Amino acid sequence: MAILALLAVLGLSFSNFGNAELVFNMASLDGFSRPFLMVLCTLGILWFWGFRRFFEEEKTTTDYFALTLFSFAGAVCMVSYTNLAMLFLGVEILSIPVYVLAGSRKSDVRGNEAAFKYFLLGAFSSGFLLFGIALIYGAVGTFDLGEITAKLASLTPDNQSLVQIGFVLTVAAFAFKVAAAPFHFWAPDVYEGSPTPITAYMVTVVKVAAFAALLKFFQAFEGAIPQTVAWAVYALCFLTLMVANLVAASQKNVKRLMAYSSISHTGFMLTGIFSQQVGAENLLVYYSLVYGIASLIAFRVLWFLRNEVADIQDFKGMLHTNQLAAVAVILAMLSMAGIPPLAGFIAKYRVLAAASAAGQGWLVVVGILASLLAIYYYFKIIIVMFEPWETAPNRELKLADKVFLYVCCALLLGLTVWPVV
Amino acid sequence: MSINYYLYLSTALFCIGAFGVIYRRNAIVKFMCIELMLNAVNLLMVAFSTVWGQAQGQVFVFFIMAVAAAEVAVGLAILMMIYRNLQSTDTSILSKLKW
Repeated sequence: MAILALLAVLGLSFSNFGNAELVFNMASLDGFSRPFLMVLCTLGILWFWGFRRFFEEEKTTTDYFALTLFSFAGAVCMVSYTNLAMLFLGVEILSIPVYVLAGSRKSDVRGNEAAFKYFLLGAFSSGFLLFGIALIYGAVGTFDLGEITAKLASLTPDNQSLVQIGFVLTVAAFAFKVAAAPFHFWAPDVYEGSPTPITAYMVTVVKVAAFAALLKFFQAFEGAIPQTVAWAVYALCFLTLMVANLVAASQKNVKRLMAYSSISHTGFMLTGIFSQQVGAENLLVYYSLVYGIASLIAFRVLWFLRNEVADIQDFKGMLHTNQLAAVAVILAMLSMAGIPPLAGFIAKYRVLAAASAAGQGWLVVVGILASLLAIYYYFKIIIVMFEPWETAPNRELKLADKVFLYVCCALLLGLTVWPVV
Repeated sequence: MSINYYLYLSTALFCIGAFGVIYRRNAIVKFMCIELMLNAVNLLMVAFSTVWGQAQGQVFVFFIMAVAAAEVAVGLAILMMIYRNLQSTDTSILSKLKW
């Protein structure tokens, strides 16, 4: 049912029914939000499909459906906001259900800890977001993004510094949400402690929505960002790329490794959208689609292995026991590592090209170093799968899950040969 | 009265709240500090709203209040769950997940 509804939304966003101003001009469906809506729907449909057993197994099916759909509605608000009030509401509608879902295994202490950390840091970063919005409002006198952009040029020096502080605080809040170093420390804990399907939801839908909102925010303030602030954001990209990949290389727990890998992709996406800004939509849409599908494959197979503490050794000999899952994971890992000619390589290449076009050659070098480090830990998993198996074979995948993996792989390969956006 | 005083006061409140969240060990006190941060923002919004002579900022404050209430409801539920499992609200015992 949910899948059908999302398919309908996807169809509607494909059919070009003109730009619409919604909710008292606080959100709009336009050239910016439509592609992101499509990405969100695609990832959402795949997620509902791949993880539908999460809903079947639990006693409170209806609650979970309601919560995930609420949070999806928040994601839609976040990609189509034109008013900072809508941004705030979108962030909260997205986050609050996910706090609940993160702690949905009530008797599991690790799940509790994950939910608590996620809630605390989420509320904390909302505080920063609001303070930033308040300062921007104080300087400009409006919450509307278009009016803010129009008024930025004619501000008194006092108001200019208010806007700059507001901008920094808001970007810091976003950095919490997308888990960019040094604001990433909650992410590995939360991703590890939450149920695997919810982790998959967080690293795909939640992250893509937050990035789309961040890009829109950057574009509204394009040209008004002083050099020092720009350098601070570049430093954020640098730290995220390096810290995530260095720490990931030493991980034994696969779920945690995937968390750090997702942080490293945050670094790439942040680099891409901040160095290009205007017109970076295509880059971000492509990157998030490629990254999202590969993550869904990885987390689906991780969930199939079932261990809450998934050690790398769980993948041992998978190529012999469960070929389809193993091939799908290999494809996802190679794509995420950015091995040419796969889609992940094209996505990373576009990011680095954007960085070099912005005159940040050093960031290109950092990005390449980070990819090299990433190859090491992705290959750790791949190599283990080639080893001969000793334990009993894994359970078979259900037919629908096989089809899910086939479709994901096909989409990933399709994006490789036909980079649409 | 100058807007700056409101700015100073709400910044001070916000910083007290932020440091409280970071340094306090008791989860309930942490929640209270988050509320302090949000209320600092509310104060600032209302002050700016008066300066600009608009209602926008005040309407935003209503949104913040509603969302803060929803957030606290979820947060306290999470805390109850933790208390049931661990019989404590001290956040330093939450250290199952590391590195």
